[in-house]
Order: sequence, then C-alpha cells, then structure tokens
Amino acid sequence: MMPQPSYEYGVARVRVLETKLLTRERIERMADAPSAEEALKVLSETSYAPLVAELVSPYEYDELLSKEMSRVRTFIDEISPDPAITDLFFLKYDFHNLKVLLKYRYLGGQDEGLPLVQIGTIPVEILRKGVDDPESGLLPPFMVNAVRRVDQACALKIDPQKIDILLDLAMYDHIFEVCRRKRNGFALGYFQMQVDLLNLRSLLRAKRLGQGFDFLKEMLIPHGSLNVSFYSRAMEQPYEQLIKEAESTPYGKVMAEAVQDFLRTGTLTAFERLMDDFLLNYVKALRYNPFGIEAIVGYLLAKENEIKLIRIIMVGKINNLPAEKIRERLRDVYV
Amino acid sequence: MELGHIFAVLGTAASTTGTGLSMGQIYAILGAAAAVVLAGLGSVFGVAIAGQSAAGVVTEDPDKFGQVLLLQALPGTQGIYGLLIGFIIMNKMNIFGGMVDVSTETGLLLFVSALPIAIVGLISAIYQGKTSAAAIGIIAKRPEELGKAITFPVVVETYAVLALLASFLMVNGIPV
Repeated sequence: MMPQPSYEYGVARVRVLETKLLTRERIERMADAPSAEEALKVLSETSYAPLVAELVSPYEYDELLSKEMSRVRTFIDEISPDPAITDLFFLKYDFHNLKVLLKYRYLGGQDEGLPLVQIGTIPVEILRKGVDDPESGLLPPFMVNAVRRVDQACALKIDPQKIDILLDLAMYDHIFEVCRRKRNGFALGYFQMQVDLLNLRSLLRAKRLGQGFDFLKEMLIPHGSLNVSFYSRAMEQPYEQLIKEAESTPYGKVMAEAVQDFLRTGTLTAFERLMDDFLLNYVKALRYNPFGIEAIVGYLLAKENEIKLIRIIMVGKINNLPAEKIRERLRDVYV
Repeated sequence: MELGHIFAVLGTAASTTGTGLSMGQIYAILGAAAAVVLAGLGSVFGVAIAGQSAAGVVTEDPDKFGQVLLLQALPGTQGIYGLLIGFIIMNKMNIFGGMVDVSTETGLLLFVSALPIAIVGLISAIYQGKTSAAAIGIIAKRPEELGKAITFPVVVETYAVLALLASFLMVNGIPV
C-alpha cells in the first residue's frame, strides 16, 4: 500500500486550490451573461478552461461538471491522509446508486440511462454486480446487509419510500460507526448536524402531510443530537411553538427562517438552502486547522457547492430564464 | 537506575580501559552531545513538518518555491544553535588538542549549561515547524503577505534565541 500523504501536505495543496474556486463576482458575471455560450466564456477564464475547450456545445455542460467532479474525487483520494474519513463524504453517491439500482429491480423501468453517478467509493460496474449477487464479496458487508434488508422489506410490500429510508439508515449507521472508531470529532459533528437537519426536514414534511408521530418515527435517522421526545412533541405543537422549542437547539435560526418560508410557499427549498449553508459554515469555521481533515473536506464541499451553482446558471441560460430569475435562485444557494 | 550511577560505571570502565577519562570530562562531553543531538532532532522534526506543507504548495504552484523554502528553513536554526553551544564546550575542553582535565563539578556545570538550548531547542523547533506549516498556508493564498506570514514562526524563534543566550553565558562563565 502506498503511504498516505500527511495532513500538512494535503492541507497545503488545498490552500492553493482554494484560491482557484470561483469568486462571487465571477458567478454573478456568469448569471448576467446574455447566453449560455457567453456564460461558458466566463467559465473559460477560470480553472475550468481546459474542460470548456473540450465542449462541443453548451448543452453538454453536464458532462463538463461531472468531469470536474471526478477530478475532485481523484484529487481528494490522492491527498487524503485518512481515506476512511474522506470516503464517508462520497458515500452518499454510492447510496444514491444503490437506491437507483434497487428501485430499478423492484419497480422496473428502463435499464438504459439509469441515473448512476461515477464518483462514489465503489465503481458503478462493481456496485451493479455486487447488488445482483450479494454473495460475490464485491461489496463491503454493510452494503450487502443494506441490500438484504431492502430485499426482505420488498418481499412483503414494495414501497419506494421504504427503500430510501432503509438505505439512509444503513448509510448513517456505517458513517457513525466509522466516525466513532476513528475518533474523528469533526466528522462526527458534521454528520450529527446533517442527521438532525434531515430529521427536521422529515418533521416538516410529516406535519404538512398531516401525519402523526408514528409516520415520522419510521423516517427518523438515529445518531442525531435531538432526542425522540423533541420530535414527538413537535408533531403535536403548532409551528410557532416548534420555532420556540428549536431556539434551545443549534438549529433555532435555521428553523425560524425555514418554517416561515415553508408556511408561505409550502416548499422546503429554503430549508434545503439553509441546511447546506449551516453545514458549510460549520466546516468553514474549522478549516484553518493545518493539521486536520477539515480543510480537505471543506474544499470538497466548496467544490460541490460551486458545481451546483454552475448547473443552476447553465440550466437557466439554456432555458432562457432572465438574469434576475437566475440570480434569485443563486441567492438561494450561494453562501 | 540513577543517571549518575551509569556515568560513574562508564567512568570506571573508561579509566580501566586505560583511556584515562575523568568523570568531569565525560559530563562535559555529554553536555556538548546533548546540545547537538536534542536541538538537532528538534530541527529535524520542525523542518520536516514545514517541509511537507511546502511540498504541498509547490505541487500546485511551483512559483512559490522561494517563499515557502524560507519558511521551511526557520525551524532549522535550533540545530545550529545546539551545534554552536556544543562546539564552544568542545573548544573549552580542548577536545581537538588532547583534552584538558576538569573536576567532576566543572564537568557537571558544563553539562547543565548545555541543557537550555538542548531542551528548549528540541521543543521550540517542533512547534516552530507547526507554526511555519500554518504560515505556509498564508503564502498559498496570499503570496504578497510573506512579511506577516514569517512573523508568526519568528515569535517562536525568540525563545530558542533566549535559551541559546542562557547556555552561551553559562558555558562562558565556567572557568576551566
């Protein structure tokens, strides 16, 4: 096995690359560009230049973005002093693929063009074979168990939502097991907040559907910092009381803003934006540690955010959305 | 086992082998060795920590080589200070010209005089290496701020210089 690079080395490489992240000013120039071609021109003045040059038409922007994301994936692999921890941040892509594959198995659909992503910890082809034959030993045991649990549940009743929930539970069980084993407080804190926020999102969804706590209980992911009684009380309370209760948690501000927007628009778009911001800010505050994984994870999240922004702009430009509309949607994402 | 006991055994062993070393001489040389070895090891750790950061920056941006090299070299000074004190002690003992005999007390005094730079050199170099690694992070993002970046590890240097001064004054003040 190759020796792992040190934290000092990895963090220093990230520090240089942080200067190449797109600035707010450039993102806005892209949003203001008169056409998709012009927006790409702005992008070609940045570190994206070689990828933009390869593009035949602006409609292929998605290919450009997935190439950039795989570059980031390779880069993180190369510099990560602790791949067991950095892999946790890519696990969501593996589980996305698992969801797609298992839903295809149970719900059918077209085999061609399944929306599989290549940047997970396990290559898509191996994942496919592993899902088809769990005994093959191609997948790690926690994934095999997850697939088995889905199979068992689907033998009784095929429910796409149940597939999602079972896989999410399996993913977070594994994530927290690794964080605890590695005693990585930073990653543990990050995923704990992520779980809390996902649970709060499920709470709002359940409330909107007018469901009781039994419905929510199925969806709650354990390992969060808020206890079950918080959720059971919240299901009975009016929204104002919920906002008040949330004040004593780290998510008071998120909930106050998100619930208001949720009541006004009926959507969770604002919640998702606030959730991303909250997690990004957590990492941002810790990324100055020159001897830890924080800066490396911070770069990965910043890159994911940047790619999300470019996608919003390109979709907007190709569909001829006016610049103000795009900017409005960007403000929802940009930190 | 008590350290003094080991030295005493060594001393007897030495005298019985016919080299004719006194306890005083052994203590003095031990002091010189401690200054060179401990301060030198500190510098090894220090420049290695800062060096990994420097290599990371140069991988992405080779133009910053000069600036990061300067920061990497800072924790290297402790090793030089240790060698300096070691050299003065060796010189005092006239090690290159047959070695003068000193009493056990004088030898112990020379040994103790070497301790400030040996111990402070070891620890300050490691921490200076970490501070340098962090300062290299500044250069990665803002190469124009070299002056500010260099200040932080230099503050750590202060205490290595103070230890050097203490060792130097003590060694100088001991009549041989």
